[in-house]
Amino acid sequence: MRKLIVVLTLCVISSLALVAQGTPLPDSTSDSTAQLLQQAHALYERLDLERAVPLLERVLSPGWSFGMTKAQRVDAYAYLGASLALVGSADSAARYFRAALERDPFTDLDPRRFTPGQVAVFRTARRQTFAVGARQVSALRFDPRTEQLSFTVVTTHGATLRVEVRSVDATPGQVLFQGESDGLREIAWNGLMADGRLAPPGRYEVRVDGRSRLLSRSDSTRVYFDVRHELPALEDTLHELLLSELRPERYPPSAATGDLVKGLGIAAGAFVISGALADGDLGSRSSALPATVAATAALSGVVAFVWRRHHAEAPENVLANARRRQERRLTNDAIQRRNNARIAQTILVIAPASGVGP
Amino acid sequence: MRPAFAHASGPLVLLALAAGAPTAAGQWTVQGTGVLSVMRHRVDAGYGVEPSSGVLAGPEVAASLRDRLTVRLWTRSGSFHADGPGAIDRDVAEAGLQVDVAALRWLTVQAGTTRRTYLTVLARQPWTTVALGAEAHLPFTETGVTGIVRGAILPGVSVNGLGHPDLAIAVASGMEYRRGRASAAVLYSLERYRFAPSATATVERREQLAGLVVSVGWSLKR
Repeated sequence: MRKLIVVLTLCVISSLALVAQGTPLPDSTSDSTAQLLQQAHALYERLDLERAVPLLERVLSPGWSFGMTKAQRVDAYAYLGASLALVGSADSAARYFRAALERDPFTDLDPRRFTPGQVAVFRTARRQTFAVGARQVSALRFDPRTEQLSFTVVTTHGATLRVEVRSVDATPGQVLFQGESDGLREIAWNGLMADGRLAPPGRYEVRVDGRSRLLSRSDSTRVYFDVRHELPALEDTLHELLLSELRPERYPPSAATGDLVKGLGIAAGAFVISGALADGDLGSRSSALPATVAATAALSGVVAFVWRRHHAEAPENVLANARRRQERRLTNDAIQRRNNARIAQTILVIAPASGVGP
Repeated sequence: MRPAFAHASGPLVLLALAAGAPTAAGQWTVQGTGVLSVMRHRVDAGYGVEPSSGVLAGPEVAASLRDRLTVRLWTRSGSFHADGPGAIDRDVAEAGLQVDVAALRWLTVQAGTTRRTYLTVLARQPWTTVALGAEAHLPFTETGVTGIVRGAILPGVSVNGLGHPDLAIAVASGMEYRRGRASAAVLYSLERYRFAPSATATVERREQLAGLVVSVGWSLKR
């Protein structure tokens, strides 16, 4: 009886101590995953493993009705494995560590917080499990001329690893790493694709394929991210010259006739001036001087008519058109150069994404 | 003795020659032109027609702004010799200023004033005229060949001893040829005046100056 009283007293003291430390007592009616994990952590830290293990097992049981994130589940498996490793159940501990690693290959035990024995069991679990992982890309912007984007990938143990970044809309991608890897690895990407060009805007995936060197197993994973270009506004190039914007490079047949008519018209004008417009009362009209002008004009018209009939091309218009085309080409070249300079200043804006679609 | 302003042709010749000198503003085109006119003068002041003819020559300087606005300054002088009984020889000197404004690609509106003096052994008769007119350009397909038709009314005519004319017109027709900076033109021009009898002139006076005008010019494109 005294022994029972001592045990009950100890239980009360223990409960009061928990309350004093701000750790709420387990309450099955108002429990939640986060609260229960917090309690389990506290019990584990005080090495009250007999109470911590059931709590963790309860969280991981199929009957647990509260929602649970992947991180919480991995945390529960890891602490359960760590607890069991402490009490000497190495095989069970390894099983839970493997469950944690299978769900998150980035799971690790900090040697400063866990005992060498726990770490040893965890390492065994890593050797018995094969999984590859890639950390979700963080939102950032970087200048591909001077900076690089870093991808973090992991394997649970030694493996042949292939890491590729590619657009979800097109293949091939750019292979960033291919070789042996064990554990964490940082892989840098300069924003260029296999053709040496800057990755165009769109959705991309980092695909990680690994093959274990210890087990005959393979694993793969992928993370998605969006690429957006941030650059100064580009200038529009000049449009292609339309036919209506160019001079005719050949004269129509009517042009020759038009020249003849103009020449004869000017000739007639000279005679009209000397005849109809002159004062007839001022004596005999001299026809030599207007005839000189009329002959010159008529001759110009006839020569122009004959010449144009045999030379329909308009070399001055051809030259003028060529000059316009050349000016347009030079202008567009200059615009293209300015645009290229602006494109060279492109900043890549990275945003995490989920899946191949928006 | 020629009218005093006939000697102004000297400085204008220098100005025409100076067309080769750099212009102050980049948009201006300066052209210097030498003009030779073979003219026939007819006047009937109530005593029968007095015919005379001769050659007038002189320089012209034109400054164009972007081919839109042109300012012309010219002088010419020469002598008319009597061609019939009753006529007398006369010296002629003229100076003029004209402004051309391109209204359309083929049409230029012109306004100007001319001071002309006829000097005979009997008298000196100065004329001052103000003209308003237009010049049509008929370009041929061959670059630089252009037909020209010009017409003007002279609303302001001031002549010593005469009233205002009831008819005063100036017309011309001809060709202009341009190649590079050089240009040449040949026109037939006519000025016709009719003065009705007035308090100072009891008879009608008719006067006409017509002839062939040949010019050769050189422009400086800046």
